[in-house]
Amino acid sequence: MRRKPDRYALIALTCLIAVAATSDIPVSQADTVSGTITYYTVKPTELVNKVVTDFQAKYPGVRVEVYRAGSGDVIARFSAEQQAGAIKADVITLADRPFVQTLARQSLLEPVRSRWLSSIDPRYVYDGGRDFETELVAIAIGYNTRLIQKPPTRLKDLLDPAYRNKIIIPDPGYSGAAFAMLATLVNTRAFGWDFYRGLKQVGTLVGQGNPAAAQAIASGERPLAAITYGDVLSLKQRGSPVDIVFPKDGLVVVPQPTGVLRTSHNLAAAEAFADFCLSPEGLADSAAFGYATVNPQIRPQGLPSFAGIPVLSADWKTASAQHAKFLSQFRAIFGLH
Amino acid sequence: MLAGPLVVVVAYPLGQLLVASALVDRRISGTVYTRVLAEPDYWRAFGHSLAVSTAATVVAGLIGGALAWVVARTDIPGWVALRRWLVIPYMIPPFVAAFAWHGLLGPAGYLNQAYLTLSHAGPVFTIYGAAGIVFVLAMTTYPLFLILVARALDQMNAELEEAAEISGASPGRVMRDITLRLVAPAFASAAMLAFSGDLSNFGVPALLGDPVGFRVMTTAIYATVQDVTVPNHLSVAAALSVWLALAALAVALFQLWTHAQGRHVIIGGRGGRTRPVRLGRWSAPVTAGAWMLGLVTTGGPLASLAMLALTRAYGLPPAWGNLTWQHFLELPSDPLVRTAVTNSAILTVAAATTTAAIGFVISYLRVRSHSRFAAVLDYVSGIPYVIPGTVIAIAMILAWIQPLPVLRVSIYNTLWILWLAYCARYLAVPIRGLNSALRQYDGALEEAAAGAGATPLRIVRDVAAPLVWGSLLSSWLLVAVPALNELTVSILLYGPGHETVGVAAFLMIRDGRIATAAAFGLLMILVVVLGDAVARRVSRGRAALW
Repeated sequence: MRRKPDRYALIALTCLIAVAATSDIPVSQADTVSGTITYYTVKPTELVNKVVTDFQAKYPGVRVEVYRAGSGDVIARFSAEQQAGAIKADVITLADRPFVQTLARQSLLEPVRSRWLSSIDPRYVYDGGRDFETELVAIAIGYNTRLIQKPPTRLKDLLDPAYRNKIIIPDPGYSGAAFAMLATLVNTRAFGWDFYRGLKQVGTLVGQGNPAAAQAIASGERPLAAITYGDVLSLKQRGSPVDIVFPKDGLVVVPQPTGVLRTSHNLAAAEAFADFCLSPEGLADSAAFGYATVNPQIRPQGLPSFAGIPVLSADWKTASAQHAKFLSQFRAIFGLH
Repeated sequence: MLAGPLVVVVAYPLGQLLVASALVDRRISGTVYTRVLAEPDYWRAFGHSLAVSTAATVVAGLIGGALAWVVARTDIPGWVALRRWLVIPYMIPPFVAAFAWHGLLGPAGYLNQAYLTLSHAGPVFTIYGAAGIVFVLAMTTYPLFLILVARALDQMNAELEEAAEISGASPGRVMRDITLRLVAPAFASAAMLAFSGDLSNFGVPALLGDPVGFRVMTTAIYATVQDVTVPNHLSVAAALSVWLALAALAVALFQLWTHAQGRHVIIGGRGGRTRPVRLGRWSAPVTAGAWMLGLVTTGGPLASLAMLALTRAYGLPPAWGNLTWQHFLELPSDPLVRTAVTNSAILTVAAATTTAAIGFVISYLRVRSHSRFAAVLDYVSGIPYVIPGTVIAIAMILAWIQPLPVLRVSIYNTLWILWLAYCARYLAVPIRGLNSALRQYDGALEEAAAGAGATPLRIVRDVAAPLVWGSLLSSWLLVAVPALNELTVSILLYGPGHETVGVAAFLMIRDGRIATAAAFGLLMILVVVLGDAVARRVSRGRAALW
C-alpha cells in the first residue's frame, strides 16, 4: 500500500534530476553562440587547423584565433598576460600537466560541462573535471624510412654507436612533451641521467620543438628521433618518408590537458569549443591525424599497437618542483647554455 | 600637437625602455645591468653579433664592389641585364633566403645530398652556425654595394682616371689612387647600411644559429622575452636592448664622424659617358664568372624554394613523380595565410600612409621654416631608423603592455601596437626622401601663392604637395614593401589572430610546414619584385627599393 507513492516519488525524482542535469548542460546551440575566442595550443598546426575549421563550420558565428607553439613559448605568453592582468586565451592546451594543475588550483579553469564527458575514458579527466585530454600523446621512435631500414625497437637501442650523429630530440625547455620524457626517464631506474649522457655520447642533436624534429627526420638531416608520434604521423600522411615505432622498453605518456579559462570574455563560445573537441566529430579529426583518442570508440587507422608496453610515468610532484634543476642538468649534459 | 605622434611612437617607448632596464622592484638600480654585464653568455652573443656582421659586410663588400666595377667600368656584354639580375637577392627577405639556402646547403639539403651520392665523405658545407649566417647575410647584402658603388662609378668623372693614365700611371695605380678613393664614400655608406642591417637581423640567426646554440644579440633578446623563468625577464631584455641600441648608435655616429671629417670626396660632375675598361682576353672568363655568380646567388635560393614548394611531401627525392602544385593551390584556404595577408595588408597601408603624412609635415616644416623645433623633430624621427627593430619592439611592449589610462584596454596583442612599431621603424624613410625633394624647389612658389592670398592649408594642398607628389608616392612604396615582409619587430609583437606575413612564414618554417612555407616565400618575393617595379614606374626611375 505504501509502496506505490514511493515508486511515483522515485520516478518524479528521477525526472527532476534528469531535467536538472540537462539544464546543467550549456545550451550551446550553434545559432546562439557567437564572437571570437582565442585558443592557445601545442597541438600540431594542421590538426588544430582542421579542428578549428570543422568547429567554425558548425558554429558559423564564432571565430577561433589560434596561437600555436611549444609549451615553453605558450606558457611564456600566458604568464606575461597573467602578470599584466589581461589573459587573452579562452581555451588552452599544454603538454605541461603541472602548469595546468596550478591553473586549476587557482580556480582559473572553468569546470567542464560537456555532454560528451560520459563518452570518454574517465582516467583522462583531471582536477575534478576542470581539464581533460583529447588525444593520447606518447613518445615514439620516429625514423626516416629511406635511410633507416631496420628501426630500433627500444629506447635503449638509440644508444648504439651505430646511430652516431643520426638522432635528434626536441628541447625540453621548449617542448612540454620532451620535458615529460626527461622527467619520466630520469625517475625510471632503468634509464636515469645515464640514458641522456648516452644520447649525448652518440652525438644526439637537441632540436627545438617536435614539429622541427619531425622535419629533420623527413629530410634525413637526422633520420632518428625520440618524439611525439603525432608529429611524425602528420608528415607521413602527407607522404613524407617517415614512420614510427613504439619502443618496447617503455611508453612515455605525455599528459596534454585542455581547459577553459574562467577569465574568458566569451565563456559560451569557449565552452562550445571545448565541447566540440570532446565530441566524436572533434575526436575524429584527431584520429584522422593518427592519434589514439580518449573516446575508445574513435580509433585511428594504422596506428601501431602499444598494448603490452609498460607505461612509464613521471612523478609529477617532484618533476614540477625540480623543473629548473632538470633543465639545467639537461643543458649541462648537452653543453647548451 | 605635432610632437604628439613622435612622443607616442618614439620618445615614450624609448624612455620606457631606459626606465625598465634601470628599475628593479620599482626602484632605480643598476643591478639589471650589472647582472647582464656579468653574464658571459651575453658577452658571447654580443661578440657573435659584431663578428658575424663584420664578416658578412666584408664578404658582401668584396663581391659587390668587384661586381660594381665590372658592370659599371668594363665592356662586359649585357651589362644592363646583368645589373638587374645581380640585385635580385636584395629583394629576397633575408630569413626567406636563409630558409632557401638551408634547402640547398642544410645537412640534408639538395646540394649536400647530391654531393653525398658522389662521395660518402660527408656534407660539403653545413649551413648552421656562424659561417652559414655570414654566407646568407653576405648573399642578401652584396647588392647594396653593387648598387651604391656602381652608381658612384657612373657619376664619377672618368676624365680623372684618363688624366692619371695619360700622366703615365699604371692601371693598378689608377685603381688605387683614383678610382678607389673616389668611390670610397659610396663604399663606406654601403658598408654602414650592410653592417647595421646585419646587426639588427633576427630571422637569419634564428633559423641558422638557434639549432646549434649559436646566439647573437637579437636572438638572445628574443629568447629572454620568451623565457619567464629568468627573473625580471623583460627588464633583462630591456637592458640587452639598450646595449644593442648603443652599438648601433655608435655605428651611426661613426658614419656621421667620417662624414664630418671630410674623408668623403664630392664626386665631380659627369664627364660624359665613362670610358669602359676593355676586358680583352679576360672578357670570356669575367662574363662567365659574373653571370655564374648571378645564377648562383639569385637562381640558387629561388630554385631551392621552387623545389621545396613543388615536392609533394618533405623528404621525398626530387623526381617528376613527386611534383605537385598542391601546396600553391592550398595557400588561399590556409587559415594562417588568410589572417596574415589581411593583417599585413592593413598594417602596410596604415603604416605607409601614416608615415607619409607625418613625414610630409615634419619635412615641410624642417625645410621651409628652418625652425629649431622642426630640426629636433627630424632628428628624433631618425633615431628608430638607426636602432635595431628588436629594440623598438621591446620598447613598444614595455610602453604599451599596461592598459591605456582612460580606455582601460591594452593595445598589446592587437594590430595597433604593430602599427605604432611600424610607424616608428619607417618614419625616417619619407622624411629623408621629402627633405631632398623639397630642397630642390625654393619657397618662391609658396610665397607667390601666399601673396595671392591663399590660406596656408591651400598652399600646402595646391602648391607644395603637388610638387613633391612623386616623392611622396615613392616613399609610400619604400615603406610599404619592406613593411609587407617585416619579421624582426612583428615576431615580438604579434598576438594570436594578428600574425603578419613575415611571422606566418617564420612560424611555418618553425612548425615544419616546409612546402607551404616555400610556396608562401616565393609569393613574398614576387610581391617585392612587383612592388619595386611599381616604385620605379611611379617615380620614373628615381626611386627603387635601393
